[in-house]
Amino acid sequence: MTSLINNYINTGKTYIPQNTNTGTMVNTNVEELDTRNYLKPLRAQGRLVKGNIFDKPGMMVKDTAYNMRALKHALQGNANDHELGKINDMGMFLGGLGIASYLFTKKQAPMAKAMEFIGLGSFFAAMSIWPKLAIQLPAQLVHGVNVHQEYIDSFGRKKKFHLDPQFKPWDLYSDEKMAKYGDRLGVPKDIPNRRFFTQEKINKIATQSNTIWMWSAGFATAITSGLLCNLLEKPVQKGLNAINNYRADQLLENFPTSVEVANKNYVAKHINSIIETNKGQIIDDKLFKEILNLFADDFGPVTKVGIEKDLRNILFNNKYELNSITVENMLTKLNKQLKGTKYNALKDVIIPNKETLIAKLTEKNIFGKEHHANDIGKISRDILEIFRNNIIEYNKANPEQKIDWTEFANMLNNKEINKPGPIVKGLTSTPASKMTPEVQKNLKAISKIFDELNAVKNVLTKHAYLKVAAAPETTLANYWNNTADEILDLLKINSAEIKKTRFDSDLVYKLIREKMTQIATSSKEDYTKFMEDLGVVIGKINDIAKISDTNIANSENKNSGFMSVVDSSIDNIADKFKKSNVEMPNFLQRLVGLEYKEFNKTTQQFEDRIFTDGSYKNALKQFVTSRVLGVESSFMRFINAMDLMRRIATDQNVKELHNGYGTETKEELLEAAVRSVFNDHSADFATKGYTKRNVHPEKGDGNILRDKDGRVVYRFLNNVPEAEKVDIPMDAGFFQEKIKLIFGNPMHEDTRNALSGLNLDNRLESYKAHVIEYLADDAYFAKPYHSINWAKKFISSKLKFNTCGISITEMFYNLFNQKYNTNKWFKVFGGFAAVLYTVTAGSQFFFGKLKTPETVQKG
Amino acid sequence: MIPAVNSLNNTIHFSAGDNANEKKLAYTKDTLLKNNILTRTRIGFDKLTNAFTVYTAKGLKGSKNANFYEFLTMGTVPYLIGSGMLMAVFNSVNTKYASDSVRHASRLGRKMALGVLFYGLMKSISKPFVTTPVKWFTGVDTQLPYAKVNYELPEDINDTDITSIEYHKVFESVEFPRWDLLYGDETKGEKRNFRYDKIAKKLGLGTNLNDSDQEVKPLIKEIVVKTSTATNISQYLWAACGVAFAFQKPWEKFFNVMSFKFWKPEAFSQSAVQFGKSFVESAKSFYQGDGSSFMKRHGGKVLMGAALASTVLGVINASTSTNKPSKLDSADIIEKDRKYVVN
Repeated sequence: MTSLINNYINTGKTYIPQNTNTGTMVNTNVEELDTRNYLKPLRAQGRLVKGNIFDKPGMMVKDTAYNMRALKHALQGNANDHELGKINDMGMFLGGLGIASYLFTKKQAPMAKAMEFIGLGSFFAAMSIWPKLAIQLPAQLVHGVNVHQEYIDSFGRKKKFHLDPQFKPWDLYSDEKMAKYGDRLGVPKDIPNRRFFTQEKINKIATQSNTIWMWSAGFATAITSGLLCNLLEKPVQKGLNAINNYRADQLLENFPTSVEVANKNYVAKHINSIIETNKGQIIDDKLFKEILNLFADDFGPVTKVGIEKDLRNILFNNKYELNSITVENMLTKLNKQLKGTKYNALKDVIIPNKETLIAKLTEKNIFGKEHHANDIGKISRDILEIFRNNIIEYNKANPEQKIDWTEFANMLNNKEINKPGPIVKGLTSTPASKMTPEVQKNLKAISKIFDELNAVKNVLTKHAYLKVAAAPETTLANYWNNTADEILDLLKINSAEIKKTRFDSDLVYKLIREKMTQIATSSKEDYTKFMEDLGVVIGKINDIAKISDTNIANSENKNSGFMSVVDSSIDNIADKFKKSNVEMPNFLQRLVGLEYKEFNKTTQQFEDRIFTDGSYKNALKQFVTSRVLGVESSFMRFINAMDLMRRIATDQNVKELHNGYGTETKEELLEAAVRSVFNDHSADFATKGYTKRNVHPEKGDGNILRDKDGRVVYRFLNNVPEAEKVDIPMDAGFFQEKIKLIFGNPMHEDTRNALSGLNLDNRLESYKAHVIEYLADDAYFAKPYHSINWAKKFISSKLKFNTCGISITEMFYNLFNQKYNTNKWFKVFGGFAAVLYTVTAGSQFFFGKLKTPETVQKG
Repeated sequence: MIPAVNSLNNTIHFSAGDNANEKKLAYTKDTLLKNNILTRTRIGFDKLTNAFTVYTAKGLKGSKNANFYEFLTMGTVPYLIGSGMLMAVFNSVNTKYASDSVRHASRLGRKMALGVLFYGLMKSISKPFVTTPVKWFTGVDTQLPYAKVNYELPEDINDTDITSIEYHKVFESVEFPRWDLLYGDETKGEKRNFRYDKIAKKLGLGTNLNDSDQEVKPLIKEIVVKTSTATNISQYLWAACGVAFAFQKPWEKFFNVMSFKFWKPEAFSQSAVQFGKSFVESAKSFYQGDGSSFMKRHGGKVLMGAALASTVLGVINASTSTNKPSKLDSADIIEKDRKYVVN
């Protein structure tokens, strides 16, 4: 057994006896052997794989079946080398799947989860795509040879033809095919052994290609799979978003079914089992807590308190029984308390035994009766009185060893640690409240409604979550991401500009302001075109905002509006509670709001009203409205900024507001207004803006100078050094003018024309009105007159924040960084991949160089 | 049959070369090697350096002597480059990002890098998890190496360097194991079948068998197939455990103080200590999991359980033979001391 032969056989080639019918029979009697026939090689039993795209599915099925067979053989211990190789591939895939599945469980958002498997898939895809694109294809183009040709051997095993240079079943190629290869490779036609030389040439190309494959694959697989992931991210996100949206919409469209599915009868089941085990038993604190938690655990603390109050009314009448068990409990607790104290030896003297105590309590006419919680104190004093009398008698008999009553009583009452003493504990150990049939009936009745409420709640919150929650992949978040991206394109901001400015928000501000000024000062057509495009991008908010639209309840699609479903379903539940004859006023008040009567002057009658603020129902709606409001405000702010700049550039809907001002003040005002829309946060509004101004402004001619494009030319604004300027807090008028200029003035007619088609003009108006109401009219003690409507409102900071929206500078600053990061990665590795591909593919031109043997001399 | 080339004891010359310049070979014929850490390291080093140098050069030249062994050995190249590249993809650009993104990106990038490292580490150290117990139970060392002397074709007329050494494993191919290498050298006083005897004894076939080699060969073959199946699957599951382990949160503490500057003892020792701590905490976190869902809490256990199960079941499968030779039937064994009546 040795090397050369071993080299040959180790590759798995097995000699197969051929069908003898086709060959020539060897006849030993023949004098002359027909060597021509006899030495003819046996016909090849394998075949080359000629796969095209239509064969792929069939091939995949066959390969899978082969792999399964291989696994079976491998486990039984009779697999061959080829099959074991397949097991290795399977193991690799299994391991990859293990990694992806594990990381999948670690991720929160569906997109991140999906990307784990996309990452795995793209890695395997990269491993198979790279050799095809960078090696097989160029080799095919340059040499006309498929260096990754596969063949199926006589055992049905699929192998790569050029993998083992020492064993290639060349006989699978016909002479004609080899001649064609020879022609394509430029092999001279008149050399000896042309076929062999062609084979050599192909061998060389294949060996070189395999080597370059090994060297490039390491670099390429990691990068290609990264690039693939990057490419796939958007489409996958789009797909997931569509699924998300569909799921959310389905929940509401089939609301009754959704609720039915979500209703797991959890509370009812558990209440039944509690009732079963505690039938007729006393309801003590522990049991009460158990029941309370069952009902109230899913609610916030406010609602929980309401449920607790109502449950107390249902379960307890707050009375305790005084019977022999009570006395026994009390005596045990007393003994425990005295143990280890100096009174322990005298306890029989001070504390009467059970019978005596019962007799004395009966004397007092309190034994065997129910007592209200409020009377427990009095009864405990009665009992102490009995002990006191015993002590007085003892003290008379033993004047030397008197017992100090006050000290004893304090010890007994736990005065020091301020906790109920053993007497009170004993007296309250036997509540008069029991799990009576009446109580059982009530509990069962409300448990069913609670189950339904929980189901309704689950469906509604799930819908709200999928649509608008703070998670990164809700419909709303996706809308935000896409829209912000598209605005970047609309403004024609290129990557060089992003690179130059992204690290400093001041630079971002200057760039964006310049871009927007260009558009604002452009022709009517250009501006309108931009605004229309912007409208289309932002207009998708109309779909998103539907969820927060209360008006939908009145439209045709009555059941699909989230708000109306919240109203109707929660009200329906509240009705069921009312009809159940179990009083739950505290809980209902927290669920739907406070009911009250109001006198109607016109009808001269009291009418039922409900104050919903702070109710659970309202909170559910608020969650949605405030989220949508935040996003909508941010984009409306951008549109408004665009409109403001257009108005300034064209001098429309600007002038009449501040006729009395001189030129410099007007310049200050314009500048302050523009800066405010770009940079102000809700905190800036809350402090009514801080604007550094010249205390002695130039009057000038009272006009604003514009160049021929409409750009404002400041004549005075920058003449006084910044250090000499101050904020003038008394000048409420300046603030009012500024707010009116930005939010009060009607929009430019170009803006209105561009936006009216998508109903965005109305949204813009309402945004502006909201800003004035919630932000400008918000009361600030230091600047009491800085208000538009002289209304001193106190607005929650959350509402102010959401109304204000993100500042334009901040929005673009974040976007720039996001874009830059992605681009940077793409640039570095995309460039690397391009170079790698060029080198790998280009190397084919240097492959397969072989010295041509001398041609056959003719003649 | 074609006579074995090496039986001519390397006196063959294909060309008119200068014999004095002929390189001295470590082996003159195919030689069985001891499976110990020294040999393994030497072989590993030899293969690694050759993969990056000699084999690559031969491959790029398109040498007719480039063979399948060299191609397979070059498989280390994409493996190592790919590992480095994966680390680079997730780390090299991070510092160029905006400051607030750097932290986030590098946290993930470093975990990725650690994952790549642990993947390779676990994949290579987990092989013996199967092969060692199989060797204990069956006596079959599936990883037994041998050096093969390979005779090449001369590249040109002056090429006298026509031999090369390759390192294979005796059971590398289950179809063509190198049974011949396992026979003892009787000239050295070894019993011809002593290796097969040992295995036969371990497999419970008894001692003093006339032809232990014929008895155990099919059994060995089965064991080799089953062992290699088990390693092929379990090593990737262990590797997956390595990645999952690297993705635990406690590693972030290590990344914060990570330093490879061994010439700065304070920073380096702090880094090393934190590595130990993070290692322990991560192991706990991997095992215990966190979060509310079942998979969040038990995902680590499931993955590790799968790796462990594939290893244990693989060892059991490999150590229990399904085809004991029929000769073993007691009725078939002819006892020398007993009298038999032939009908």
